[in-house]
Amino acid sequence: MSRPASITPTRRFLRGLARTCLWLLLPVLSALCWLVHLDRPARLPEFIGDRLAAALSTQGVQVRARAFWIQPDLSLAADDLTIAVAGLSGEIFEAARLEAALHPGSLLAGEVALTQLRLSGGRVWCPAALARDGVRRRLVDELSLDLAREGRWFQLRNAQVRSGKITCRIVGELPVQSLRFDQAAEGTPSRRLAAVLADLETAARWAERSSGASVTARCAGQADGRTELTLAALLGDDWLDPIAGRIRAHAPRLSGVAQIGADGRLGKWRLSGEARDLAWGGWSARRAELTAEGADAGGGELRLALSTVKGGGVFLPRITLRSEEFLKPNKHATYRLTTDASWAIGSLSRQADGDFAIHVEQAAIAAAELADAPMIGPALREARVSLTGEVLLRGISASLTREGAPRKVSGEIAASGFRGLGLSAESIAPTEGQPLRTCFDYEPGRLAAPLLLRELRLASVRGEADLEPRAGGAFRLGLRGDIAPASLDVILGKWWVDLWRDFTLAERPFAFIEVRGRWGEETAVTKGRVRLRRFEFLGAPFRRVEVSVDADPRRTFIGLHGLAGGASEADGSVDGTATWDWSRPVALAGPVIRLEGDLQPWIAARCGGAALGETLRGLELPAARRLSLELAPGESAPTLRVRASCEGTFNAWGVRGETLQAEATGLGKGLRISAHAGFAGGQAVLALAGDPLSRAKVELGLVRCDPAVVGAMFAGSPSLESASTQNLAPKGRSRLDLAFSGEVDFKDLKMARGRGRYALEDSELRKVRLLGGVSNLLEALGVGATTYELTEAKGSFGCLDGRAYFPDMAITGPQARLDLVGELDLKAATLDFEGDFSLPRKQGFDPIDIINLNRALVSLAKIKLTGPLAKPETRNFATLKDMIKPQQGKDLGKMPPSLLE
Amino acid sequence: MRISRTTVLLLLANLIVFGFVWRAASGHQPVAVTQTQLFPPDPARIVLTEGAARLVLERRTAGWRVLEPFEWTANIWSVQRLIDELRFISTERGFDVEETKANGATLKDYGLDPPRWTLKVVGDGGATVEARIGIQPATRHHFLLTEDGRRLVPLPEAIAAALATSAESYRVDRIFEIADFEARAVSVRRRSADSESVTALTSEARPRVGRKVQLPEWRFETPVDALADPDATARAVADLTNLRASRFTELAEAVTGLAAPTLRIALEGNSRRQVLLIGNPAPNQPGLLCAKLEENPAVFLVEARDLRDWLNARETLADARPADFDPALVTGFTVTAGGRSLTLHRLEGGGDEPRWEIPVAPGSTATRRREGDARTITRFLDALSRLRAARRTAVEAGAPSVPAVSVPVSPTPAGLPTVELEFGAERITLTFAEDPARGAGARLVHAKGAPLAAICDVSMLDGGYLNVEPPAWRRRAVAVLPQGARVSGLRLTARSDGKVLGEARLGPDGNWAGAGRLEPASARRLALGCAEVKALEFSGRDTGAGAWAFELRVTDQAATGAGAASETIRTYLCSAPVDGRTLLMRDESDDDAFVLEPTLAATLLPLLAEPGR
Repeated sequence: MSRPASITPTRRFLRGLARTCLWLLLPVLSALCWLVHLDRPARLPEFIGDRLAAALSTQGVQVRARAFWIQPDLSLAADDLTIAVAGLSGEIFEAARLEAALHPGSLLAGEVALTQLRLSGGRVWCPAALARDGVRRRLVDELSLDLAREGRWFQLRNAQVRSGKITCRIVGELPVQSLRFDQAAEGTPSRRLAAVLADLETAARWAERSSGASVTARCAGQADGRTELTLAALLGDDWLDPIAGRIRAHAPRLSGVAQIGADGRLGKWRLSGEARDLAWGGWSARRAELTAEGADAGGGELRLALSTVKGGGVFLPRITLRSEEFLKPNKHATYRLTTDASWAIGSLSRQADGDFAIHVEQAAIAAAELADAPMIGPALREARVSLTGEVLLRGISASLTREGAPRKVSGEIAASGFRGLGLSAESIAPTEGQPLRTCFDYEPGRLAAPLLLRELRLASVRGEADLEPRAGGAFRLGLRGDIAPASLDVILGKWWVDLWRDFTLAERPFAFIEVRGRWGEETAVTKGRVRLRRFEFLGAPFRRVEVSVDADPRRTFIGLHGLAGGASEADGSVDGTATWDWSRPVALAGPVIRLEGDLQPWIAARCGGAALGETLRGLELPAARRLSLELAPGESAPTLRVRASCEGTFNAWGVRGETLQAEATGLGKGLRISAHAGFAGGQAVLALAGDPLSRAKVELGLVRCDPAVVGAMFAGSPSLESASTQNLAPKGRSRLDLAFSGEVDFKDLKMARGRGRYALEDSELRKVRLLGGVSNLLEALGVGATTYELTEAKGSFGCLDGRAYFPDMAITGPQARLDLVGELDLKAATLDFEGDFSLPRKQGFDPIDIINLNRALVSLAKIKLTGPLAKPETRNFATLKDMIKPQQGKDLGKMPPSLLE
Repeated sequence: MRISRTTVLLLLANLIVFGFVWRAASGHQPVAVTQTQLFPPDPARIVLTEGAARLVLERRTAGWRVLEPFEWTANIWSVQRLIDELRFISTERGFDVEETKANGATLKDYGLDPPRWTLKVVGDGGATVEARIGIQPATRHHFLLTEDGRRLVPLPEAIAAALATSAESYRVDRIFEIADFEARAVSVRRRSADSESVTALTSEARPRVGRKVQLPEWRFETPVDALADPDATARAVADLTNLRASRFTELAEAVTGLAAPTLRIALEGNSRRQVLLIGNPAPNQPGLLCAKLEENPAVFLVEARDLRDWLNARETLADARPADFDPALVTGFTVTAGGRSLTLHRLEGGGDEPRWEIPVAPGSTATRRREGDARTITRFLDALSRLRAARRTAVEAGAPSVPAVSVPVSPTPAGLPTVELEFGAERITLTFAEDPARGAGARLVHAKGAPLAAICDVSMLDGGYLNVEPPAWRRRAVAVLPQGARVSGLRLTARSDGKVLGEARLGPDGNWAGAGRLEPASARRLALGCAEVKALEFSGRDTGAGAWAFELRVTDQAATGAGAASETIRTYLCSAPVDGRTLLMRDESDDDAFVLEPTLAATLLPLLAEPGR
């Protein structure tokens, strides 16, 4: 049969091809027809299984089965199936039976799409290479699965898993996409499978920490293609935590809800659980509540609440933890801790390196609870720190190692009831009501100063501190403000205590103090300035001073700047230093005091004692004065050198003087004073040795002084004012030279004891009128024959017990001589003198002198001075009584024997 | 094109066979899962009988309930565990009774004659499966005998544990079904021998001064209209909603005292209300109280300590915050102390960082004002808003501590320090009274108009409520050069004799040339520091630096121009070094002396020290 010429070769080829295909398809369909009508599985020939295994082997999947079946519903089944994947040692999956149906359309398109899957007796293995401990292990002990595709859902009729002590069952509808193999994912299929197995192994290990769990999940498909998954789990009573150890809990349970989108991705989810009577380590909690929720698989918010937490001597009625994005690294959880009297809120997070970061936003911790805390209480007691009231914390950031040791802690703390190191709000400023508050920064690894305190405030004191909080650790304190010196006694030590012992403060000093040292060692170095106002030092009043302090273990240097004493500017001020040299023996260490200025001497003397000061109050120097003082410790007693000088008029115990130069050396009973001053128109030289407050040895020399002024000093107790009103200025016609050596009590000069000599020149010292009123008349008539002038007086004297003895006063004139003996009662200011007037004969013979009638009169004259010193009564002639009892008053003026010894 | 007959026949044959396959395949019913569960997969009722005791569980719309031996909400987890374990029971795993009998064993050998338990499971569709369960005496293993008595199934240990659990384990502990987030009101009626007191709290949103958006918060309705402590109340409500029944008991009403309960707690949620009645302590158990729900006759015991907060709610839940406000909303505040006052105002448009201004003198209305230190002010306001009453130990032993609040003294004594906070036109006025009993840091803080005052530790205020000295609030930055400007000259002079100790000048090449103590390296460091002079603190009093020892003259050059016209001069007076780190300074044009911040002080101090010292 010839072929029509119209058929082209192409058409002929197509026709042949179609016919061949139909020929081939017909037996296949016939076989299928036989199969579906067989109503029981038909075992596939082994070569098909081999071909299938070979085909999969090229994909890296090794499948072995005892038998492959094709079932009447055209699904494939396999008995005793094992699957291994190239690159992963050993089988990773076993199943007693697996039945799977594939979508034919997709299959023709070259895509594997499940329409039905049944599995029983499934087991999943983790290859040794993926296991954390390097040992192949079974991840799933028993897996049963029955799912079928219905439209866009996988109908999960039943999925049951048992792994160790954990059972899990899931039923319901799942979006098809949720089980779709993601071709676009990175890595080879085996690599991704390995990752999944590794995750499963991690999960299994995690699950092994529990003592079992029963989990049930139900998926409910929604009209919009999403699935809502509800989960309920009952957990075992034990949990092995790598950090907290074994956690025991009664009836822990978990429930959750999650949305799975049509694309298979996890949407909103919420998980909540609770457990009762938890116990871990030495801790216990009555109840724990856990809530976690999120919007996707990337993270969410976790809340954990523990109630009635006890352990470590601490009782916390409630702890709440809250973490946002907790699934993501370096995210933090917020917490709230409450005890019966304390509370704290903040957050904590675990860093990538395993460290913990804790933030205390705010906390109020009862001091009583803190003192009972096992770690803190003993530490506080050891440091002799007591706390009352509350300890407030704000903005605390702490970085802790995984073992709980602090790496760095910083924040703000306030302790209203802080008492330690002698410091407390009450001790510094009782009225301030400002307890301890500071910002701190603690870093144990910081060598210089692990603990830094900044913006430190305790009562009226502000400052900073760098501390090494251990016994013998270094510290640096920088403090400023109104400070009560006693509050630093413990920190600064003995020298500080000694320094302030003699101060009486009306106002708290304002101080800048920097102290460097080591806890418990008296090696502190102190620098600073202290501004004092209205205070007394050793009883002496001062208005102000600025004290600079520079103290170290070898020496203490105190600078006194503008030490203003007394009550007004007129009392003057000094600048100076006080140093202690601690390298010397304690007795000789100090202070070595050097002062210089214009301070009134009595203020400086007041430091030596109230009596001395009061005594020297009588010495008032003018404004142009200088005072210098040097005080140094000595072997037996301190040595003192005081120099005082002034230009112009000064007032010494009511006596005016001029241009004083005085120097005192020694101290107390060893005091030596030498003074030189213009006095009463002449010069006065005073040398004093001994204690001026009791009986000092005095040597007084007056040269060319006005006797009237000198007499006034002994006549009464003239004050400065009265002295100024008296005319004590030297008259210029009389002159007194005096030398006295004895003992003087400056408190009562009249009680001086000693002897001396005097010489008085005065042109008008005395006129003796032999005839009394007649002599006056004769004198007026120009006849001066009965009047004799006396111009000089000299003699010796002695003072004892308020009396001055003049045993040999000789008052002489050009023609006459008056020899007086007598006594002065210095206390009563009275005198009692008597003497004889004589007219000495001239040398050689003088006839006129023989007929001088005055001699007869003189022989009758008996000079007697009695009565008040200011207005003595004078008698010139002897009375009858004098003649009858000439021996009466023969001891007048004689110095007592004790004075002569 | 013409199709050959062979092709047509082949096509028809294929179509016919395919039709057969299609019909058979589409009509095919999937066979049951290879595993066969003994019990219905979704039980609706479970009855477990052990001797005379019966546990009846029933699934209802709201969930599982225990019907016997008492009626209560069932614990879903306990029930679920039982159901889960039932699902794993498969007859395939068992063996025939006949087989055992053939081997000479009897049901008694498996503990099934008589059985210990009888388990009856009713499925959703009404299908009922009843099985008997016993314990093999020899092994203590559990065995199940199917309803038809033909197969014996060994049971895993897990189901054995589930069966052995007491009825108490199948009920929920919680008494209230209302969750804490759902609670809207709590009313406590406490009855004593001679009186009855009612305390009512409600959660409501009410606008308050110092708050922009006010979320619902707990308030006392009775006895006074006052805020409740948010933390304590939320916790107490949460604890109440989570209150647990320790165990159920059967006691006579005369013993329980529930006919006339001492405490009646009503908890209101969204559209539902539950009332808990508390009666007498349980016999010989003073820590447990008899209780029941108003509409449920079941009597149970609750722990007395769980109700501590509600026995004295007026004290335990009193608001511990004397001033609860948002610091960011404060527009100004006035501190009054010692007869003086100081007002600070927030500047408008301060950007992210709020800016504040203060008058020069306390109470002054002078136009010359200074900028406040935002950090100091913010910290003060923050601390003020966070004030909390200290805790006071309760009088009764074992009772919780309560916030130290008290009725304020009325009228308020004059002269007390006050802080008046401004929120636009609204005000909150706080007074601070002494509280010597509680130490240096405690003050009785009272917000004007509030029914209670709180004893608070005010340490964190850092004395701000007393500080009427403007320098204390001053901005710490004394001088900050603007962007681009720089220090171009420095001169250090001893004021005692006018001697220039050092002088330095910035050359056009950017290098410093200096003499005396201000050699180039020191000058560069000092110039860098002087670009921003900051005070560590301003001193409000004479610090003893009256004799300024040095003068530092800083020449600044503006960003544009390099001539003398673009230069300005700052002059600072410096004290002698006070200690190793402290230096007092004062801007010559400013009255306030200040302690220089440490960084610049560390640069400057060596330059002021006398050589050789």
